[in-house]
Order: sequence, then C-alpha cells, then structure tokens
Amino acid sequence: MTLRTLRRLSQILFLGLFALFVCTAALRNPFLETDPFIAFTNALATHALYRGLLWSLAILIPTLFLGRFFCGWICPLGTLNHWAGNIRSVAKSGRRRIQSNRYQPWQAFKYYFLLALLAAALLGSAIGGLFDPIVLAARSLALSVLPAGSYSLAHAGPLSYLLFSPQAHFRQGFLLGLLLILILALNFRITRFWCRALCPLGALLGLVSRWSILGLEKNQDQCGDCNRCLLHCQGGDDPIPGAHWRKSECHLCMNCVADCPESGIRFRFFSRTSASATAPNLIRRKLLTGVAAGAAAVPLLRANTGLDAEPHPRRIRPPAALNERQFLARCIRCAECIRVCPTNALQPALAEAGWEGIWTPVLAPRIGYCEPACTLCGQVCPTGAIWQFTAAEKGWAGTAAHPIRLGTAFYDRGRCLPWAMATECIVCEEWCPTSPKAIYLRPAEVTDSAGNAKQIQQPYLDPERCVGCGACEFACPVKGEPAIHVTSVGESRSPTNQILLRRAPKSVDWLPDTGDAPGWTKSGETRQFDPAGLWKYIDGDAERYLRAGVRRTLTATYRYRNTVEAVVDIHLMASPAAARAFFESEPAVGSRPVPLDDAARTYGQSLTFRRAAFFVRLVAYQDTPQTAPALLSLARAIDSRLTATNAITES
Amino acid sequence: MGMGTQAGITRRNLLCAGLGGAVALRAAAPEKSRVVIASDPALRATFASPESARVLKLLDRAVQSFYAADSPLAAWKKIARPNEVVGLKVNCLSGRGAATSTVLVEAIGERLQQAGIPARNIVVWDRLNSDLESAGFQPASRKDRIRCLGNDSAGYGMDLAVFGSAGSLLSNTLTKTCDAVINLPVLKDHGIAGVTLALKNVFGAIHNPNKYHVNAGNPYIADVNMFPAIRQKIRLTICDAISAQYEGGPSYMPQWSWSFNGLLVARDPVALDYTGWQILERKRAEKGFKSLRDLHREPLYIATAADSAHRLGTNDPQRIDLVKV
Repeated sequence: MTLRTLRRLSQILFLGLFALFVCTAALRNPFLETDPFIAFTNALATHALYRGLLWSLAILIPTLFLGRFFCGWICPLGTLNHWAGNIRSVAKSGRRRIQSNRYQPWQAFKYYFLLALLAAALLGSAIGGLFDPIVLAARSLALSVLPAGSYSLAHAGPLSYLLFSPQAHFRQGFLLGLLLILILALNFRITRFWCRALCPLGALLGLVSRWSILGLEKNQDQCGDCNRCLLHCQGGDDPIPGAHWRKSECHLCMNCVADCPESGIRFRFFSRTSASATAPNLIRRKLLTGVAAGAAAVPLLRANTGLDAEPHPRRIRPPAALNERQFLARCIRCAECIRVCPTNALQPALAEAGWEGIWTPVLAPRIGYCEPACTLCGQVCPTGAIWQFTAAEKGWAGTAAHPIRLGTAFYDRGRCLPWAMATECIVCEEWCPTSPKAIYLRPAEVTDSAGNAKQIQQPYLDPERCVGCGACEFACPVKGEPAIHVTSVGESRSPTNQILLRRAPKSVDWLPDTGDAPGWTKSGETRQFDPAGLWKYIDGDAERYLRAGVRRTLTATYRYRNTVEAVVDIHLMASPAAARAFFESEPAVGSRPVPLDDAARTYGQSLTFRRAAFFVRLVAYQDTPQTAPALLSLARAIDSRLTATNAITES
Repeated sequence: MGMGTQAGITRRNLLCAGLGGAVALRAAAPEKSRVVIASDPALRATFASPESARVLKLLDRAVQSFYAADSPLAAWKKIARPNEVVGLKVNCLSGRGAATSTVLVEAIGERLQQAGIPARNIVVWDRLNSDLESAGFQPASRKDRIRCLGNDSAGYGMDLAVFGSAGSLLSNTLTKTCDAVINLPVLKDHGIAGVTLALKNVFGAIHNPNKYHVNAGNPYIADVNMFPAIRQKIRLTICDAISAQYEGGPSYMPQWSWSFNGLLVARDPVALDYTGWQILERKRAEKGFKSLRDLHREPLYIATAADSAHRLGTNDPQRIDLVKV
C-alpha cells in the first residue's frame, strides 16, 4: 500500500468521523477541541490558559515532526477541497494545471491574515473563528448541507423513512451553503485555493512545520523534467527539481511521490536536501500591516452599536452563555449549539449581535423555544462560551432561587386575543414551563363585538418568574407578529441589561418551629405557594383567596403530644383591610371569639385569626378535649413569629 | 270479496302497530337513573375513623342494592371482569378529613379482589402523590400489589382531549393503565362550583383543572366529563358520605362537617350529583346557611351535564330512582 493510498484512507476515515460528530447531537466535536488555531485564539482573547491549548498539542506535536500532515490527511475542509480540486476544469487543463500548482507569492497572505486574526483575539474578539477551516466546515455542514439533505430526503418518496428527525431550518442557511460552494468552486481555478491562500489554521501549522524533521528529497539525477510531480500537488510547494521545496506549504499529500515516474522523489526524516525553504517567505512590512489590520478591526467593530450601546432586544443568548464581552471572546461561531438545539430555537445571528457577533447563536422564539430540561448547547460548546450547566442549575422546572434567565417576555395587548378581541385563549399560560408559572390568568368580564358581556381569562406575566425561554412566543396562536414576545432584558448574564424589578422575593418562614408552642412538634416541611400556584394546594378554593388579594401562602403540619394533628395555613393578603374582609366573609355560625390579635374565633376543632395583612387558619384532625386549648397555644406562637419578623412592615 | 279491499287487521299492520307502540312507550317512559343512598347511623358517631367491618357491610348493602343482585359478590362481578385493570379515582386534594376514606378504599379493594380482580390490577389514583399521602394513602408502584399512583408520577398523555370549552391532557393512569374506573368522590361543598361530587372529581384526571373554575365551572365540568376516556371508563360512582361537609369546601373545615354515615352509589353522575347537592342544601338550611343559589354558586354545571349537548345523565328528580337502604 502506497503512502498516497494511506492518505486517501485517512481522509475518508476522518471526514467520516467529522460527519458523524456533526450529525450526532450531544457529542462534543474533538476536531474543534483539538484545533490549535482555536486554542490560540481563545487563549489570547480570554487572556487565560485555555484548556484547548493542551488538546491542541495532539496536532501541534506531530506537526513539529511531520509538517502539515493535518492539512493533507485529516482536515475535513481540506479533504473536500482536495476532492473538488480533482474535478477537471478548463482553467486547470494542460500546462495551466502545472503552472497553477507552482508556488505563488500570494500564498503568504494566509500568514498575514493569521496575524491579523490573532491580533484581534488579543484585543478580546474570537472573530477569527469565522475563518477556521474546522469551524467553517462544521458550520456549513450543520446549518446548510444537513438541512438541505433532510429536505431532499423528506421529499424523496420511499427514501423519506431514512429521515429520523424533522428538518431544521436556519437563518442564512442559504448564504452559508453558498459560501461553502464558493470555497469549493475556487478549486476549479486553483487547487485548494482556500488552503493555500486563506486558511489561518494552515498558516499556523505552516509556521510550526518549519521545525519538522520530515523533508522532501529530490533526486535531480533521475529527474526527466516531466513536471508530473506538479500535476496533483495540493500545497503548491514546488516539489520540482530546480526550485526550493517549501516545507511550510506542503500538505504531505504524497501525490508527487506517487506521480514521479522515475521514483526520484521521496520523504525521509532528517533529509539533507539543500533545495528547500523551511520558513515561509514573509515580508516584515506586510506582517506589521496584518497585525495593524487585526488590531484596528476590533475597535472598529465595537465602534458600531450593538454591543454596549443599543444592544439588540433580540440578542437572546443560549442559557449559561457568558456575559457578552466574554462570550465574544470565546464564541468561535462553530454553530455546535445551534446544531444540537432540539427545538431549532438557536439560530446564527446576522444583525442581532452587531457586526462582531455575526453567526453567533441567538434564540429565535418564533422558530423554537428553550426546552427546560435541555442542556445540550452547554455540553457541546467547545470553548466554554456556554458553560456546561445542568438542568438543576438552569432551574426552570423546580423552584431554584436563581434560575438562568435568557430574557423576559412582554405582552402586546393590542394583539392578544383575550385582551384585544374578547376571545378565550390560554395557550401561553399552558406552555409556560416555569414552576410556578410566570404567566398567570385572571378572570375578567369583557364585552365582545356584539355587545355581549362574557367572562374570559386574561393572561399576565410575572417578570420575576419569567426566564425568557420563548415557549409563550413560540406557541402564541396569533400569526405574524406574536402577541407576546421575548427580549433579552433581564438576562442573568448581564448585570446591566435589566429592568427595575425585584427578583427572588426574600424567603421567609412565619411558621413556628418545634418547641415554640408547648407540646407542639412541626411534623412537615413548610410549603410555600404564590398566587399563581395556590391552586395546587387548594384547587377550587384558591379563587376565593385570590379574589381577596392573597400574595403568599405558607403551610405546614404539626403534631401535639401524639394526640392531635393539625395543619396551619398562613395567608398574606394584599392589605390589612383585605385580611379583615376575608376573615369576616367566613361564617361565624357555631364559633366563639378568642382573645388573639386583631380578631380570632375558634370552632373547637379549628381556629382562625387575622393580624394586620395576615389571615391564619389552624385545623385539627382530632376532636379531643385538648384540641381547642392546644390550637390556641399554637396560634399564639404563630402570632409571636409574625410579630417578630419584619414581614408585616414589609407587606 | 277480494283481500285488497278488506278493511280489517292484517298481520303486517298488527306488527307495525305493536312495534310502534312499544317504541312510543319506551320514549314516553325512559329508564330512570338509580341512585342508592346506603346509610348506617352508627357507623361513625364522632370524628374517629369508621370501623372497617361496618364500612364493608355498608358498601355491600349499597352495591348489592344498586345492581339488585342476589349477593354482594354477584354485584361486584358486574363492575369489572377479572382481566381488567380497575382504577379507583379517589379525592385527596384536601387531605385527611375531606378526602375519600382509606377505610372505604380498602373495603372496595378487598371486594374487587374477591370478585376475581387480582391486586395488581387495582390502581388507586389521584392527581398528586403528595395529595394521596396527605389523605393517608401510601404511593406504591410495585405491580404485584395494589398500586397507588399520583398523576405526577404516571404522567399525562400527549393527545389533547377536546370538548366544548375544555381542552386537556389526560392522566396516563386513566387512558393507558385502567380499563375501568370507579369514581370515589366525597360529599362536600365547593367554594366556587357549589358542590364537588362525581362530575367534579374527574378534574383529578386532567392536567389543567385550575383553568376550569371560571364561571363556577360551568360548562367546563360538564365538558371535561364528555372526554371519551372519562365518559367510557367510569363504570360506577361510589360517593363517600361517611363524613360530609356543607360549607367551606373543598378544604377541610371540621366546623362545617358532619357525619352523614352513608354512601351514594350511582352509574349516572348527574343524578348522583343532583342528589348529593340536595342533601347538602338541606343540611345548609338546617344549620342556618344561605342556599347555594343565594350565594351565587349554585352548581349549574349539573344542569349543563344533563342538557342535550352533553346527555351525561339526568337532573330531573322525576327520573331519578332514589333508593334508600
């Protein structure tokens, strides 16, 4: 087996592996993790020792010995370019083909470009990721080629059964596909133009390869000047006799070795050929220009609006994304998060994140919403722009004190069916995934267009609970512009992109502990309910409390000397007047007043009292001679607790 | 004289007349909905738990009477076949005191097993495991014994059931696990819907009961009962009226509870609800409380359930065959 055959097998193998990682959700793409250019970019941009630097040694160390083997044997975009370059074209026929594979001075452009991108990284922008070949291939395949393939399969009649997932749609999918096609089409003119002239990773590896110990040996005596070694040369590295072989350009494709009819070309370690140029041919002035261009690019990009000034309201980042500056320093636009998003909610940005943020991920709630239990974007992000969060840290399904917020939803009451058209609709509330729900309903009497009075439920949003997942906007049945839309304001990652709201009310426990009342043991945990979730505790009766303006309800069970079990409910009403009205609305038949707080009555087996804005109910399950006095002692302990806390003044 | 001109009774005319008369008679006298009220005044004199043996006897009496069977066992065998999974839809939301009695549920479980239904095919269920626990049931999912499941652990299906103004996801326990359901509500007042009995108890089978309390639950309660899985699977309602509550429901309010010491059994949920409502109204009047109509919480959903759009049963006292045993 020749080295060329081995190289071909390697290309097929690695391209297959790459495709597998692109097609498989939840698998971190090791090609991205080990990409040295990404590693350097992130290390410079974050000014930190980046984990990827270690992994990139898997590429860099072999490059030190072998040269740019990665470009010829592994790089998936290189392989695609290689295959495209093999397609016959008029521009590369006959002598022009040989001429096109000679080294050209413009091939040095990629080094200046690399320096420009690294300079931009040093100033805090990972925009260089846009041009990384691995990133480019991953992004193009995921956002353009695969969706197009899904569409084709879905419309391929019997073959449609092969389609195991619904087709995703991505903004700019066409543009990204066109860009890939353009890069591949350039091969019709010049073989691997991208790799020779533009690729920053190729340039980096070219710089490192100057120390490689593997070199080309040309046997001038055997050469018949047939130039066949140039026919399929991938790097434009001049393997022909009489010219300097350019180590930093060679992809080790082994075509020259295989094509030489005289077997006059071979690679060997520590070769002693004198006709080679180990370092790229760079001009200092151009190097400085490259650095200056990169250094100027970042301030220029940030002179634009969209980052600090006038951030786009739809710049809704994935959950656990770092704050915007750190995010831009890490996000390489690989689209891994966009690819794995199960609801198709993440989309490549165009204008939402400013010029610098092009193709970074943003949530598009009209297309999809952020699934509460999903953590895939964090799992696959190769650079930590989205940290590896857990569902518990996301905190949407439970009662996490500080859930990750992507933004906040706002109603457009001019379009909302219950508000604008007296039509029943509770879809947004149904879809709201938080617990308790951020969207709650209030009954209202409205008049329809025919003048009929009708009772419907109108939705409201509690911004303290909204996490900006976009489910409400996604599900809103109002076509066109939705009646509810999510903006990034309130996102957890930004201390400034906030509206003046009090988040996470202070946790209080007005219920006495064991021993606070003689003989009483607290036998269950305190459960707390807000108005929207009160129905979970007292379904059916909750409305009575809601009408009275209940703000919060706490409940717990107690046991008195193993003879009486009781449940205590403390309701904080909107005002002392509301508590009084509620207290007085309950029938007093069969009760007698007891001296406690503002007003209290006992029914023997139960006791109710009010204090300021609190309404308290104690209910015992056993009717014993001790029940009534025991309940009274527990009520007094509750009263002491309510007095001791500053809850009353708070209310 | 030819046959064609003979003006007399032909065999065809006779049969037609007879058939027509039978149909007319059937239409004129529709079958009554039987509601059995079984009571045992000595069952529960105080707020202590009722005695198991007495509850079992009361239950037997009620079910045997309802099915007019020769023996209690024969009656129980009419409810479900041995290979069927029977769900017992209890009412636990308000916790002990205002929930379906565990003693009654144990008695039903015992009789079902004697009727040939293995323990593994009996499922006690309600909305939440925590609700079940608060009412004294122990959630259990082992399949070799009677299961006790909240919908929060069994989950809800993905198919939206829709009727009228109601649209809900249904409990997997109802739709996937159970072949038949015995509805076990409690006789009690409801602060919004007026009363909560057989019709209202199915709110524990849907994922969004909080949506349907608007307008005193009318027409939502009737609409939810029209969901095919609910309408078709509920074979019998046994309303726990051992302890009943005439005010302050559905939460447990001991000051407005009393020992009714009985059970209401019916297949027609509307007839049972109407009967139970009247019992509660009488008790309210006796205790000096205003009627539900005066308080603007008359359970209008009962009439809606009986209307021509629903036909879930009858709320016409003339068409209710009330049997007291």
